[in-house]
Amino acid sequence: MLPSINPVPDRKTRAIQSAFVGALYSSSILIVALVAAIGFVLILGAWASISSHGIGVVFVDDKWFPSIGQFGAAPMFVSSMVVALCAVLIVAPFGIGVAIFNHFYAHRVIATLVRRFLNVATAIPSVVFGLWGLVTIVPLIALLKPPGVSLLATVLVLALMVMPTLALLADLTIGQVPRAYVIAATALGATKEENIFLTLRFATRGLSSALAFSFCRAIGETMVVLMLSGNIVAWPIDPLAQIRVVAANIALEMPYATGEHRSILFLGSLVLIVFISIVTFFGVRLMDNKGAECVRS
Amino acid sequence: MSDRDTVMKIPASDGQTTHIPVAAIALRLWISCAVFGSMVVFGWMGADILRQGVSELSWSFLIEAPLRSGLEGGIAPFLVSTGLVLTCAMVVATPISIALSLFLVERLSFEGVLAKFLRATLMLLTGVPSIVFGLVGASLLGDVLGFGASILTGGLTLAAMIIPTFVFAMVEILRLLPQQYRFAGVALGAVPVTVVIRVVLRIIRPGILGAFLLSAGRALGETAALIFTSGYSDRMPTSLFDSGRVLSIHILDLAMNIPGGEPRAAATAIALMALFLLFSGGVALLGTNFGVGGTYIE
Repeated sequence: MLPSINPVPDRKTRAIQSAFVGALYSSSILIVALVAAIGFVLILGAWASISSHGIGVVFVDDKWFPSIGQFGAAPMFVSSMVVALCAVLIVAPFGIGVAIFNHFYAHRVIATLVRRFLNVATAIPSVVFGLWGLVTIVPLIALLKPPGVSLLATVLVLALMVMPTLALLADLTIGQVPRAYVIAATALGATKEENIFLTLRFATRGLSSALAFSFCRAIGETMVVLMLSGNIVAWPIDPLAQIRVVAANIALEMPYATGEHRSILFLGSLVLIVFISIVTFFGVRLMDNKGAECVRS
Repeated sequence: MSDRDTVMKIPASDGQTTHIPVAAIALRLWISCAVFGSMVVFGWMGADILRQGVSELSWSFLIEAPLRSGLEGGIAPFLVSTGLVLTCAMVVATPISIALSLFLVERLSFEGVLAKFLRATLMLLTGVPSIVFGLVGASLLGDVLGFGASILTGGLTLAAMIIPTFVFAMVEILRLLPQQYRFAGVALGAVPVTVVIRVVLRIIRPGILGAFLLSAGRALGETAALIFTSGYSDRMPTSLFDSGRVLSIHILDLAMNIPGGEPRAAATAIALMALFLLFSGGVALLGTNFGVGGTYIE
């Protein structure tokens, strides 16, 4: 049923229409302004430390003792990176495996159920993952070496948390490989396994972008790391030792940080955002070029 | 039955099957390990949380105020705070997100640089870690605008956080709507704005509800962005300018700071997940096309 539409709008209708268009415009300008404001607040907050030490301040000092003016945050940045990278590497075969299962082995109904479950699982609050890690994984690791809160516990639970995101993105990517290729390969006598390898080859770029997005999710995560890593500033060398990452550091020290200490925390989040933006940018680039790559190969 | 299913069932020629069994077996082993491994771990997690928390659950747990930092009593103030923060966030995020998605998809005579810029901005916003939202929200809304640690500050911070989720969900739904609806409207002599207001927005109403529930579900469990913004207070909030602890922060507090608080934390987690499943149940009821694609008759 179509609504009745007057071809020549009267003045009142036209006023409503321009107000509507104006609202769309202003809301998009609002969002752009919001992002600008976030950047502005962070840069302003970090300015004290940038102007007095330069942007490399976090890599200069060798220890993190903010109360006596030592701001060596390098171990925390490296820990952030290591934790996220390990989590993504551990979870990659699982996420991609589930995506292949959905496309090549599962019945349509099962595949839909799996996708629905993954959708729900992406939104499980991270604090629930942290709680589970605390009551289950940490005691298990404490059997190896007390106290159990460690790099290893963090990486394992973080991997579990990232898994649904990665599986959904991989599922999407594999679904975008043109079906004609699989049909052609089958016509040439390819088995199901050969078809899977073929699909994976065509989906390589998309899968790398899925891994990049999962990495971003893992590196920005705060709650799981805060609850499971033990929060002692150290280089991430021993998997059973405690570490602290940048995001958790903000959560821990923001409530009482003042002056230069506070400014360093802003600088930390600024660096984190810039890093994530760069990874996201390349992730998007990889995704965009996928079609072109399929045609080329 | 999709195309791919039929194609897969065609048996391969003999020459091809003989020299790949090792790869094939390895592949099947990998896939089954991945699927069953994931299932087992998620099942383990669910069972563990249920086992820990289910004995603490009762009607009084939901309607009483907490005693002894939450070791006794209930979670009533946290439920109220969560509801208020969420309402605040959704009231702000909903109109803005709908407007943004229309701006991105409907091309109402002003497509171009701003839309492109907006898309990049939203991508950037999805990447910002939630703790950074908390940091910025606390210093911009809390300190500069003077709202302090309050439900309003938390709600506004959360709104900024879920707008990208909401917009991308809405964009999906607007793309599901067959173009014929728009063509028909224009063919009847309506300008595009009229078509959007009187045709598009009417048909995608269930889709808007779906996107709303989806992003509300995401916002429900958010913790890091709310630590500095909505605060830690465990009293019942009396106004939007009061500090109020949300459920997820209560879980964090019980698990980290209160010795022996784990069963209580698990019980709170069950309550939180039940609320969340209520939301995603609503999304599931609307179906995969959110009632948008199905009404079109070819």
